[in-house]
Amino acid sequence: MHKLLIHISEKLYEFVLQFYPKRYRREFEGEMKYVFSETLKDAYAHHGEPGLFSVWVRTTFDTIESLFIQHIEEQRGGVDMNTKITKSIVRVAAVTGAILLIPIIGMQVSSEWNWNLFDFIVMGALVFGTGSLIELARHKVKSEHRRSVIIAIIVLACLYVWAELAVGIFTNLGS
Amino acid sequence: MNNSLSQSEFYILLSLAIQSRHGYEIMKQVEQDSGRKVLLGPGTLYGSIKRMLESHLIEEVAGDNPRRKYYTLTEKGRKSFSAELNRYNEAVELAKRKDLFRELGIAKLTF
Repeated sequence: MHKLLIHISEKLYEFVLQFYPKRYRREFEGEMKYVFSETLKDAYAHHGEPGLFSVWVRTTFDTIESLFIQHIEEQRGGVDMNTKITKSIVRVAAVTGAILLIPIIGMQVSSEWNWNLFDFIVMGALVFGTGSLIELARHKVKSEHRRSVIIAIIVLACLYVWAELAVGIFTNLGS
Repeated sequence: MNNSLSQSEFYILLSLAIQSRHGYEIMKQVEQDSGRKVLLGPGTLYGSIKRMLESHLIEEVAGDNPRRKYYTLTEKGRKSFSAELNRYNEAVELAKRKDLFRELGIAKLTF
């Protein structure tokens, strides 16, 4: 069973690698496949199936972030994207993308989940905006206590807006 | 010398300071050296390798397994890494002189 899981994972990762820029792929595709495959085998040997799951969670975020970086670097002709601001933006975009994957997958498996383009745009903007504010607070607010309070307020505000848009609490904006 | 070394890049250079390695070996060494605080995925690993190849901090060399790509530090990479280590060393020395480890309650690092 685990061999099949590893094989499917390898094939899936191989498919995802197609989304990297051609030049980058030519140089590193084989090596990345090898590293992923060895990581899977190692994780399974030490932790069993939960180990495979944990590799997939890490690799999903790693891949989304690195896909963004490599495509932007490719567009800019190899300009180094390794700056704090760029990495923050890419991280927020990666998390936004990963969160938006949930409804996309949900719509495939359940007819109860029915989002239109507007829903995705609103949710994307909400998550990206919240993430950007959190990153801003992380970098600009020096005091740890104040930073935690500000981040908590941002998260609560995001949850409130989300709930308001979804079901309407004090307004009738909810669907 | 090189102020833009990220945490991953620092650990990758550290892993290559003693011997040339291929990607998976680098990843495992970084994991071990950082006490599992830095876990590199293939994307971050090869993104960093690409940047360091372009900045001539590392270069590709032949290794034991002809199917793998091995990397080693260049002269520039060695100097850059030494400069980074020196900076850390100077910071630690300064902190020791000012008794900051005791002051900040970092008992583990008290010499």
